[in-house]
Amino acid sequence: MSLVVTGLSHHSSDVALRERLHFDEKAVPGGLLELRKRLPGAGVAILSTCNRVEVYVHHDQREDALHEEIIEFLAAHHDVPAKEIRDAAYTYSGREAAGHLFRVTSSLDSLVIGEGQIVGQVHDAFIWAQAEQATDKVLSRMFQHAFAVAKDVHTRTRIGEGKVSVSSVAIDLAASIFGDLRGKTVAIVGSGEMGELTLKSLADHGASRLIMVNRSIEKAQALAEKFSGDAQPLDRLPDVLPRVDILITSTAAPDYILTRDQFRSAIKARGGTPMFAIDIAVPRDVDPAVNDVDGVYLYDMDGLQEAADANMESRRGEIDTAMAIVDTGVQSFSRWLDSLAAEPAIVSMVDEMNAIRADELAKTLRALRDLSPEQQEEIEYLTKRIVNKILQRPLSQLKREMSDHTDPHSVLHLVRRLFGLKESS
Amino acid sequence: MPLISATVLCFTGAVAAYLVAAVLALVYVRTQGETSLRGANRAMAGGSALLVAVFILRAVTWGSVPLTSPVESMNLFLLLSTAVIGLVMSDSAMRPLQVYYAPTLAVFAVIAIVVSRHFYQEAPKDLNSLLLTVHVGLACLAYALFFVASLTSVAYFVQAWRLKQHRPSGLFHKMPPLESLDRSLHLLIVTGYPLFIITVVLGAVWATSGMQEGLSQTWWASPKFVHSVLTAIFFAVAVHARQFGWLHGRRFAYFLFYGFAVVLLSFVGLRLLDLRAYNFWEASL
Repeated sequence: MSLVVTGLSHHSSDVALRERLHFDEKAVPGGLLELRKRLPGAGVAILSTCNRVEVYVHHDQREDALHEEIIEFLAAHHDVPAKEIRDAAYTYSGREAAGHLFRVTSSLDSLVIGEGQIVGQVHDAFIWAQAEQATDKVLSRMFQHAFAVAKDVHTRTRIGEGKVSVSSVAIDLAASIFGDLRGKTVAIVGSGEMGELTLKSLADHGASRLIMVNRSIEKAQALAEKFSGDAQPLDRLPDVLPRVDILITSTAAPDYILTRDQFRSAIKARGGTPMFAIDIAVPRDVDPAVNDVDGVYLYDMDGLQEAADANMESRRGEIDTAMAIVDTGVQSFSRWLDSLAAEPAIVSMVDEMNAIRADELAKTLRALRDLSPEQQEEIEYLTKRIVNKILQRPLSQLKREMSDHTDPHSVLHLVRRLFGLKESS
Repeated sequence: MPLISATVLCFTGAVAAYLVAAVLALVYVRTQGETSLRGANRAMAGGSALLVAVFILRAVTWGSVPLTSPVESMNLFLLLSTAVIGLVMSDSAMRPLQVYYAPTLAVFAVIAIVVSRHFYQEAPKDLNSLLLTVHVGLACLAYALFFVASLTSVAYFVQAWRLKQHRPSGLFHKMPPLESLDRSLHLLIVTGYPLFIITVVLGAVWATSGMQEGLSQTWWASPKFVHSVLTAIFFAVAVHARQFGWLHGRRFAYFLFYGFAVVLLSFVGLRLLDLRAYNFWEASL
């Protein structure tokens, strides 16, 4: 049996190709069905995110044949030339496939290392495959193992700590000043995609009083309608400032529109309650000297980027530890996978013993004709018990040896020879 | 004798537990692993339990409340500080503050064992009234609250400084938000301040109650009393300025940090001053 993953990710292909191969939630069941038609009896799962499209298969075909089958499936399903996919695709098999899934789930293969979204996406892929009854014992076990490894990585390392995108760093910093953002007042001065994104994130985190300030009151009103906030003209900004906990500025003004003195007055009016100012305008809207005002924490784009880079650096420092956890997980999964090889031998051993038992029982019962049906049943039960007890220890020991031994197949070979089992079993 | 041996054992164990807590807290600074933080909390709880045992054993051995020697008051201060820290850290977000609390308490514990010498073999002297016993107990509790506030204020400076310097990484992410620290500081001071006022009043009542025959007639001009009144005024300013919204955040934290530094320095300074002229010590026994 082969365990294979074939796919494309941000490491191997551009976004244009990944977009064409993407499976949305509704397309996954059809994809799984089609794949199982191509590979009857296979365990399959499709993981499709904005950064990767991967197909996991466990089947009795050879690994290279499975890889080719997956490429053909993706090409046919999305109407993309197979060569284009083949050139960008990677494939892993056996324990390397498991290792890849564990790295992906633990967010070690993500574009942003340590991001938390991927666990949910892998979980969804697994649930969807299960719902279609497309997974088998090995795939299910591999995914469960992946979740356990990911949990371990996130618990035992700092891989997920500190945000690494500019807008999420801003949220993180706001939370490190105010804690709970519920009920906080946020003002946005100017407009712009980044500013709105940050404002939306703050609103999503509970900031409930939103003030839109703009040179053009119409623009401010349009934004206020969009976010259910208040609109104010720019000349009212000094009056608004003392009410603001978090200020986002992103105007196209050529000079500073907010000065140290304005913040000093605002902080005084606020009784020293801190303010967080995020200046994402280029050129800057807020005089950098504002950061010297007690209680004001000013971050411009460079400051936010610095913080994001520092967090990324700290995450990178955790990669080795995380990889060691993944390796341990792969070893554990591999041992379990190896122990599966013993199953046919175990079935064969049990059958063999039961055949002997049935044979000898029949002989005995023929010799003891006077026994009542109850007594015959009792003797049969006795023989079953004896066989089970004899087999119990060697079978559990065999499973353990298959898991722990460096060469499990030599163990299996020895067992087959000892019990006279056929090699094919 | 077995009781004294048990006291020594508990006292040594308590100091060891505080040291273990400090080491684990420092390990947490490096690893930020929850296990070391939990270990530090447990070690500190163990240390405080052993200190309670020391007090009980001292009381059982000598039949009086052990409060009068420097080691005893330091032990009581250590114990009450631990209790206050426990209350602060009942909010799980505040637990990482242990990196500030545990090492400092360990220093106090080490000082206590260094100055202890033979204190456990000597009978504690009795204070001459219940009023005075309550006065000493409340003073220790108020100082413990001021002390924990000053350590919390250090956490505030560090967090605020890292934010200002655009260096929010590592342990910064584990620490509570600035506003939570500020709220804790406020709570510690509004609790400590009235207790300190009661302490000063009880001390004055004791001094004027006529029980103290040997006490100087000018006890109210003594550095001890003057200093206490000044401390009360200092914290009154802090509490009220905060209440009226004039002190917040870093300035409030600075105020409280310097406040305790003044208390500590004056406390040490008072010991160096010649207070025998006012005869507090003899009059209290």
